Amino acid sequence: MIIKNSTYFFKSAIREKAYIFWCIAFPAILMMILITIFSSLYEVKRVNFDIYLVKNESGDFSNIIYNVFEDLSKGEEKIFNLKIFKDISIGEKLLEDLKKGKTKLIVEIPEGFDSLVLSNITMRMFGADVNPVPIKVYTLRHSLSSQAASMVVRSIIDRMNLEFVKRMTNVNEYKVKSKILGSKKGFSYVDFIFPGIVIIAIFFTGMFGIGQELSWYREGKILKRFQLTPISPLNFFLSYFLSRFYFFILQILVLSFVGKVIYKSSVNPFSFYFIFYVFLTMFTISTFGFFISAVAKNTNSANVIGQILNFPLQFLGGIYFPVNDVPWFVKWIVIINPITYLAAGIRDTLGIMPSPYPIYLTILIPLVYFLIFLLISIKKYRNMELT
Amino acid sequence: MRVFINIAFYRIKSFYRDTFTFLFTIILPLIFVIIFGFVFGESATGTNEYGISLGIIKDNSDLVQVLKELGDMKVVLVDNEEELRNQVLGGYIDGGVIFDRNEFNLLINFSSFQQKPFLRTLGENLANVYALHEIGKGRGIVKVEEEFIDPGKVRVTSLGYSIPGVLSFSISGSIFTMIALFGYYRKRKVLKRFAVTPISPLSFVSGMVFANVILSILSCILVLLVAQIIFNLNFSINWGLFLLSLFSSILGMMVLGIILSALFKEPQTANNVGNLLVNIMLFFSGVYFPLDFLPNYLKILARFLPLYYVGKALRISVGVEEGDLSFIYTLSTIMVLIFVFLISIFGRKILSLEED
Repeated sequence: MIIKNSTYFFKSAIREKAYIFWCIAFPAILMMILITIFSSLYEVKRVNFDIYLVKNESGDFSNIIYNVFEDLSKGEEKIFNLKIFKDISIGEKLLEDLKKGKTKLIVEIPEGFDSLVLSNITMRMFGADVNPVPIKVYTLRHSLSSQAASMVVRSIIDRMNLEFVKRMTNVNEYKVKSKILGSKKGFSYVDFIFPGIVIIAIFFTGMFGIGQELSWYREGKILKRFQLTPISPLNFFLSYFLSRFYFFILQILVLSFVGKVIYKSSVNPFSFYFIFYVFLTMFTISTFGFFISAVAKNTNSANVIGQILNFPLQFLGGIYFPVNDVPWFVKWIVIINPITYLAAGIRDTLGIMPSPYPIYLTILIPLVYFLIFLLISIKKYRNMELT
Repeated sequence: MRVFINIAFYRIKSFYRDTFTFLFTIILPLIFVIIFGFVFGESATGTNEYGISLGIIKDNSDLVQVLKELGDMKVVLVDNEEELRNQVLGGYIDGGVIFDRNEFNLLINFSSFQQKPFLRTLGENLANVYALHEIGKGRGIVKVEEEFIDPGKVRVTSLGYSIPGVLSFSISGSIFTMIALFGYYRKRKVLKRFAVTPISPLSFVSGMVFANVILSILSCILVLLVAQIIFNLNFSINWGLFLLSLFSSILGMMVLGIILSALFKEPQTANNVGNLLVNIMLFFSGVYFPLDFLPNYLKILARFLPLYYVGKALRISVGVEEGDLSFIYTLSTIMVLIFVFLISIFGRKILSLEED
């Protein structure tokens, strides 16, 4: 009987185009959008920046700098698209170009640069402690590419300094290794976001789907009509939950296809921990949905409650970015948010990212939510049916 | 005229009674501003221009000195490597440096890398400066003297710079007001009832559109003012340009709503497509995520999204970005003209469509 009813509820849901869109298609589209944006960020191989070099000197040192910049602006692996300006009086116009995004950076070799460098080297040879000669760099605030270009220029100048000094004395050179940390094994954005999106998909179906649909059943007196049938309330709710369970499975299959087949995620959706946390999420979030449907006056209220909870739960649950280092008045939302523990737990046990909380808490807290909301929902529905 | 005013007034009253629309238009952008403001607040108002926080193990005083010489950085001292890794992994600091006298290991938090891709070059800088420091040469013979240029008339934090983006999120809600008008009202035969009254379609449509525009403008101003108060932001608002940008952007978004209503007979489908479009625009138009490091095809895609231009126009009008005034005038003219053209076609057809 329960299986038969659940199949009916499931069929009824998949006939709703909007339901299919928001619960099945949208999480997959969201995952694709996030992967498209952020994976490309991590895999930047060839980036080149438009920069202006203002050079009104033609001495040896300024020519060395000019030659280095010119060399870095040639070939397929070029770093800069360089434009040279010799007239320093047009500085204001160049700054306007920087503000309008026509260039990412302005590097200015100031007047008298060559003689200053020469005297600096001479003074150093006599052991004097002198300040380095400045090269002016104009960076645009709030522009990532301008800041990145500036860092590259700093790196070049520091390297040149090292080369200059190497001609005077022995210098140790050190190797550098940079590593993006976000996982225990090695960072992959696809691996990071895949379990998070699975949780979000369940969240959409559990909170909005169950919350709104059951409210609509109540508002439309459909629940009352069920009371006249031989279907018991327990049978009704179990069948309904089972129908959403089929939906969750469908969601996870679609997302796993996108994650594994299209984006080659190393996360195994058949692993014990993945399945365990997915089940825990299903039960916890579904009771959120039942709770909303029990306390909301009508479908519209259920929608409003869902929308109000949606943003803090979603964005302060660590799904898209870590939320450990936030001010205390936001931290409490993070701490009471069950998504925080579910996301941390699933990522830790899959070896994607260590959890900032003990593993038992990532199971216990969602379970506590599950029990509390389940009990409240049962109590509310019992009273409701009696009246 | 009286009819027009009455309809506009009715729409404004119904807006405050319609909790969902009210929430979407006013409360959600406010929640968004508050969450993003507080979550990214520290880096937004940060202690250094690049907003970098770097951890190192306590016992290396030379390295601490070098990091100070590098400048523009908050240095966090930790006891050991494990603590350093945990701090980086947890996102408490942007990165950490481990130095074993032979090699520099720069560990970067993945989320910090999303916001500050320039962290990639930091290791090289550090190694070069350390080598110079070791032989007592400080920063060497030549040094970079950096001057930060504000893109607008006033200096604002990163959060302040992103507020116009939040406003454009609010504006994008106008798509749904047109779907409601041309889709749901038609489907529910609301308009048919007006057909038996002396109200002309023009008065009805213009009254509804006018009220929606006023409501959207008010909600944007509210979000802007609340953000200014909570986060102590200091914009240089050119109110004329700001209102013009808001007005034309709202009409521009309404154009999208009209087009979707025309393309999809079922308003629910139009609504879903509208929602998807809003999400795509939010992600790819540079409102929340910078386009700088995206592949070229995505940068080109951004140029086709109206929200890209809406965000730019708003940034110019609140003074956080400089741009030609002709940009705002041209954008506004185009959006208003398209709107007038489409509304004149669909406004006339609105009642006859319902007959179908």
